[in-house]
Amino acid sequence: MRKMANKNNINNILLEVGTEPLPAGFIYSAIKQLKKNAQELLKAYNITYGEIETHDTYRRLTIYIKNVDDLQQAKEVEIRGPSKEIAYDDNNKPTRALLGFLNKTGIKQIDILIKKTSQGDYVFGVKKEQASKVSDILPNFIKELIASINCDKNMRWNKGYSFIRPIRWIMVLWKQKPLVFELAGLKTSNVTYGHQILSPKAHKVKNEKDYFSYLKRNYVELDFHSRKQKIEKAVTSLAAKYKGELAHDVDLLDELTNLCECPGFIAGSFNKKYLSIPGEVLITSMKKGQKLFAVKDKSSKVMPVFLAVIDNKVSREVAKNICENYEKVLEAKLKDAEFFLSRDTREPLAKKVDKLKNIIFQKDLGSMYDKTERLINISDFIARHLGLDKNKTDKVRRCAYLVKADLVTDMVREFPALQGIIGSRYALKFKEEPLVSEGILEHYQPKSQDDNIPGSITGSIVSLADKLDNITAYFSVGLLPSGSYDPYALRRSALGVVRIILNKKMSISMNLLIDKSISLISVNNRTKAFELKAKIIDFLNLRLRQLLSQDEIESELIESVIMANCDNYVDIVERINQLKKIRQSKDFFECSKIVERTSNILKNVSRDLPSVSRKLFKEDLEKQLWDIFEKSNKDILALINKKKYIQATEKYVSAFSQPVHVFFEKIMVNVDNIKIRNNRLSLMKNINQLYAANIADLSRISINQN
Amino acid sequence: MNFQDLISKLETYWKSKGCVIVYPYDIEVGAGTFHTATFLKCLDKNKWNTAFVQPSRRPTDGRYGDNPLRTQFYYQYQVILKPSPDDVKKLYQDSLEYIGINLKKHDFKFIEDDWASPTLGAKGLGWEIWLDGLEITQFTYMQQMGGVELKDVACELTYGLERIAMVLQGKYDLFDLVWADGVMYGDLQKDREKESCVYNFEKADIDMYLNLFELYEGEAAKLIEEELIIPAYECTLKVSHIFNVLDARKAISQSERPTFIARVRRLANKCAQMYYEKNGK
Repeated sequence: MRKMANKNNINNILLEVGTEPLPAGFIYSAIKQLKKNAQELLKAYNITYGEIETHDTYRRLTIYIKNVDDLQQAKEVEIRGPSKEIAYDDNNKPTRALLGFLNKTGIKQIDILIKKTSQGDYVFGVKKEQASKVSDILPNFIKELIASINCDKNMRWNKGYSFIRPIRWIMVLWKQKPLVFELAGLKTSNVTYGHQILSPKAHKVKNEKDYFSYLKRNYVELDFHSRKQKIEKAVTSLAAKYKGELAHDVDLLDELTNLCECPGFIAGSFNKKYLSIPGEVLITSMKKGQKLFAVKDKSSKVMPVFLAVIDNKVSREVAKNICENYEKVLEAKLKDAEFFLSRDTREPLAKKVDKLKNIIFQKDLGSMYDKTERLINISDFIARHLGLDKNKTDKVRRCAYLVKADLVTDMVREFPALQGIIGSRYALKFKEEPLVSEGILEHYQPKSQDDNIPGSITGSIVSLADKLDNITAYFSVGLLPSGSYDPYALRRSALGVVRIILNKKMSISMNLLIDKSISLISVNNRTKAFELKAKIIDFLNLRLRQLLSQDEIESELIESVIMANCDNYVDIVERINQLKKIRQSKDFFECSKIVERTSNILKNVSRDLPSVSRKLFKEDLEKQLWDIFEKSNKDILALINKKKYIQATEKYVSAFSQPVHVFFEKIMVNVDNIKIRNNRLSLMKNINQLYAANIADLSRISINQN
Repeated sequence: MNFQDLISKLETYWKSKGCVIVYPYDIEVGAGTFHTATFLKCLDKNKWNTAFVQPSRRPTDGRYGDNPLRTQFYYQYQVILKPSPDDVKKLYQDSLEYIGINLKKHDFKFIEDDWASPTLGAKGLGWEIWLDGLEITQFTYMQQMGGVELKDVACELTYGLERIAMVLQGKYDLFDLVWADGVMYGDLQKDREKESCVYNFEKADIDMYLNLFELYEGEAAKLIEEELIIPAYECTLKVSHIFNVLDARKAISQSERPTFIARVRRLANKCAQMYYEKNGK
């Protein structure tokens, strides 16, 4: 419940939960929960308020609830009394039962009413519950509020309480005054603290204004966004001073923002000789080892400088000293990277493939070496289906062979985020073809919904193979995603599969591809393989639908094409695109009508129908319709083969529209003679399937006549 | 401040805060947590505050003495405060000031790092403490030891002595640190470091170590049966170190690794369980 702000109102709640340093990655979630849960709790407690402000640093979570009413809103509760029959006597006078009810509840007789219920008429009274003072409710409200913050890894610290990190003080002001009660083994108070090093003393807060101004004066920038902006601005301009550009990193920026209350900035350098280390390794090493920003020059090469964000306010001289320390530590870390580099490159990348036998892919699914063999197989299958020449196919196979080899390097063990990047660097070093190296680099793409798909043909094919193999493999041992639980990122893999196929226009039968993938994994029996395949197809189709609906193509149309036994994603999109063009045309409408009518008559026919037999035709109209079918069938299929779906539709309509409607008017299909009936149904089925099984099952589309 | 003075200073400080000063464990360990004064003492029901130096071995961290920060042998200063005091963070910061680190002149950060030892079945929540981008301490609220949930949470402060000496002496190569007047850390440690790396990475007899692993594992199991907790635990320490050497020697495949670790943990958990039954309730 919200109300308009009143500037002079002092009816505010100011709460600061002071903790030992919170994990940087948790603060955002904590403060979001704090606000949302406060809103829900205030509503549950029937407390009227104006607006809520939240602030956070690694040492404090602050919530400021403004314009809070002194009293809870009184709740009105409806209470059921005796039935009408019991409540009143024959003279319509209240009985003792009714008087007892009124007495007990304190409801006045004039306030009662009679309501119909399923059990007959009953007396009801409305009672206003006693409204409590907000100051009386606050302790419980705050206790519940803090306890409502969920964290995955709660800690205990001997206070009979648990939270993500120990709570060391709780400051509560209500109407500018401290509100004291016990919580988390502490007594709440009006005490807060400034920056942990620059102003560690306790401070008794006089009022709200004092809280905010004290923190500001005592080196605490309370607001996340101001800190973030300040840091971003500073590091960007420092990078410019070096005539370079910040190697921007959103995660690092957010993390650093949550690692300081008083951001300060330092720019340092490292020895140029370390520039022989691959740029990605330099950036990752700086980021992981010391949380430093890298700087790139105009040609995107890493420069021998770094930018650090410190949590202190220091003189120029002290800053110089801190900078030197940072530099020396960085040098040591870069030496380590050099050590890994030299150890890793003592033998060519190809020599490492064999060692993948020692790395498990999944406990029931063999090693990464086994996976590599599957990748070669699937990639080769795709390459051949796409009609790649021998030279390119060989490169695809080579790429698949090497693609996981960097998992056994010291560098990737140290920096797992560099998988793929390291492999491609080492591949180039050992004179692999550029296309092979590029494929290794790109084969994890797309890593997210917004990530690019691979650019190279090698990367695209191996990425597709890798993702499909993940899906098939995990599905085969029953590790399917459910709800929000998708530890192997299989949904993302599936989306990647679909995006690559569509973007690269890979005309490939998903049936054959999935069969291939399943054939490489030992599946006990055929039924199981069949079920597995159905699950994978559904799983992928779901992503296809998702992706196409994002393009605002009508979902009905997508459905109708998928239902037309089309297992080639590129073809599906082609059909949808063509049909969209004629979606509003008369032909489309007519076509839908034909498919719908023929489909309706077949609805309850579950048994297989015999082929159409001329001998069983009784009426001329039947024969004529079959003649038309036999005459136009081949032409229409030929157009479909050439993917000329619009022309095929036109031809279908011009061939069948009139005769089919006449047929339905003049001929009774469901006659008693089963042979004749089935022959007619079979005729209908032929006409229906010619379109519904080859282009789109338009009976699934709702049509409105213009 | 030289290396030996740093140790005495820390000792003086923590003694004044009521810590019992004990001495390093005489069996190879990977960290001060393996010392019975941490591992077992955290499990018993009594209050326990202690501080000690623990030489630690981590064969895989060796760099043949070429890296200024990483070695396979180094010294930790370990402090255990059980139950964890309310002002532990201040106690720690004061200890840094006491040994001469003026925090106002550094970048001082608490980086989330939840420490766990899969071989010991130990788990804690806490931080790496970074000083000017260098990790100088592991600060942990120990929640579980040997698979046993701790009744009283203990605070474990593990100072990296070399790292802290680096800050104090302004030298960021541990072999250049001054140990005592006229004696460098490198004088005492460099040859050992080089030779140990050759041994750990290239020469250690794999068959012998695999054999030793089984022998000590068997011995530990037997001693557990006989309820000789500390000897059983000491055999477990042996098994743990032998595993580390095999790991450095790359004698254990990635796929076998978890099984080996689980074998060590099983022993450690049994020792912890027995000790807890006897002294913790």
